[in-house]
Amino acid sequence: MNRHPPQPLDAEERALAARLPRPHGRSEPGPDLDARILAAARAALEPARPGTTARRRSWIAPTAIAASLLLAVGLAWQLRPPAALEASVPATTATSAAADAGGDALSSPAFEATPAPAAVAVPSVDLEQRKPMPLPLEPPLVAKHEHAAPLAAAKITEIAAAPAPPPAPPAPAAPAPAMADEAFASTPPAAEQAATAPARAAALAKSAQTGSIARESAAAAGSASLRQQAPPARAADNATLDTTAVPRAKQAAAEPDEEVPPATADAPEVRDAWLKRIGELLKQGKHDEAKASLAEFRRRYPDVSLPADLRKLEP
Amino acid sequence: MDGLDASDEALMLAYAAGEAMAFEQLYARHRGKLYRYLLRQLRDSALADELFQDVWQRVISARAGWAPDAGFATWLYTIAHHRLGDHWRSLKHRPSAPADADERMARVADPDTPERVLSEFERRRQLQLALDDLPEEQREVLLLRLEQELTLEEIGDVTGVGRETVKSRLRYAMDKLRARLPA
Repeated sequence: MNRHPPQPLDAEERALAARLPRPHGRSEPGPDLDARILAAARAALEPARPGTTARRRSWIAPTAIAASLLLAVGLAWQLRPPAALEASVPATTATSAAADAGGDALSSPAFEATPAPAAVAVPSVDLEQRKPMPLPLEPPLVAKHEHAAPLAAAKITEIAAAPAPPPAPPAPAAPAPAMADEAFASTPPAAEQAATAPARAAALAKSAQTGSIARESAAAAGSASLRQQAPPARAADNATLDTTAVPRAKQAAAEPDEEVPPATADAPEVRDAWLKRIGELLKQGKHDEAKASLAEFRRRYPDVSLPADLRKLEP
Repeated sequence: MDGLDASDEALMLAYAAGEAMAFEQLYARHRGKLYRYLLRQLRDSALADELFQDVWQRVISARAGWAPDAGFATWLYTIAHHRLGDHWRSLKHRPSAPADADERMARVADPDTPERVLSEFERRRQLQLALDDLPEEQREVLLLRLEQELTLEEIGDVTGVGRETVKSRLRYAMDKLRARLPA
């Protein structure tokens, strides 16, 4: 479309235009029609006004923030650690403390005060599954706990199955727990550990209550960093246990006859030690005790040939 | 913006920029002529109201993309022309004049005699009858020329035909009016 110069009407056209009749009825739009059209024209301009846009967008930011917060809280709720696992941590810690006290600690106050006795008898597989929730302040206990669990189970089985131990020879009973774990053998005496077990259990319970956040972060960081965060007071003990436990256990497995005592009472070393003990009783003039011990030895080992000096004691 | 001196195109641009008052002035200028143009074509005030509102609604909707390449009036009547065409197509158009239209008109009793001095009312009535008898395309071209004073080119733009076609249609229409109307 291009603009064209106006062409005014000539005389004839103007005469006809002047005679054009008015249309039937009204020749102009009514006022209601005018109002509708003008209102539509004004309404078409309203969406472009900035005030309307600002009002429309004013609720977008708060709604977006609220939705984001709701999503974050929901994710945190879904990803929270299981409540049962959290509740088992103090029980495992107390159990570890009891196991740390040695085999005699099974009857110690710390062991008896354990809230979940079943945790003592649980197989080591379960304890391995609970390793992601270790105690950051007591990592050596966790390491010892892994060895103490089978030890405790073996101890219970031995106590329940075996008859009363022979009164005379103490040697066979003493080395039995030591044979189970070299790391456990390097711990202080059982009596001393039993005395310190309640204190350790109390300290562990306190750390479990106050250090849940540190526990979670420590679980993510790994046990190596946890050992570096151990308190100085137990640093020496931890170093001894952690750094020597695995190599010495491997060494013990490689050289069982040299340093590790026999694992069972039927071993020849046990019988020889028993016979040597009877011989010493004879040398000391304790013939009755020597006979009683020999009788028990014969009851336990009926097929073993006795030395010549001891055969005369047999009836 | 001074609405009294502003051109149609300037008012339309101002309205596209967001000035509602510019549209009101533009509407006031063209409302009467556009309405009569539609009413003469439709001869029905209700239909004229409907199409009149549609035409202005299209003006409002097309404001953002409007460019003053042509006169606003030309664009406005182009919209009206297309809207009328839609209306005729929807009605399958009015029936064409019968072949014996002239004989029928001759049989109609005409109270006006040449001897009678026609009053102004009678002269207007005769012109209306003559317009009604014109073919649609001739009547539209004639009304756009006499009432809207559009140029031949503008009428061609509105109706979508060439200037020569417009000139031809306008000449035929004028000849029929001269034949029907007394000098």
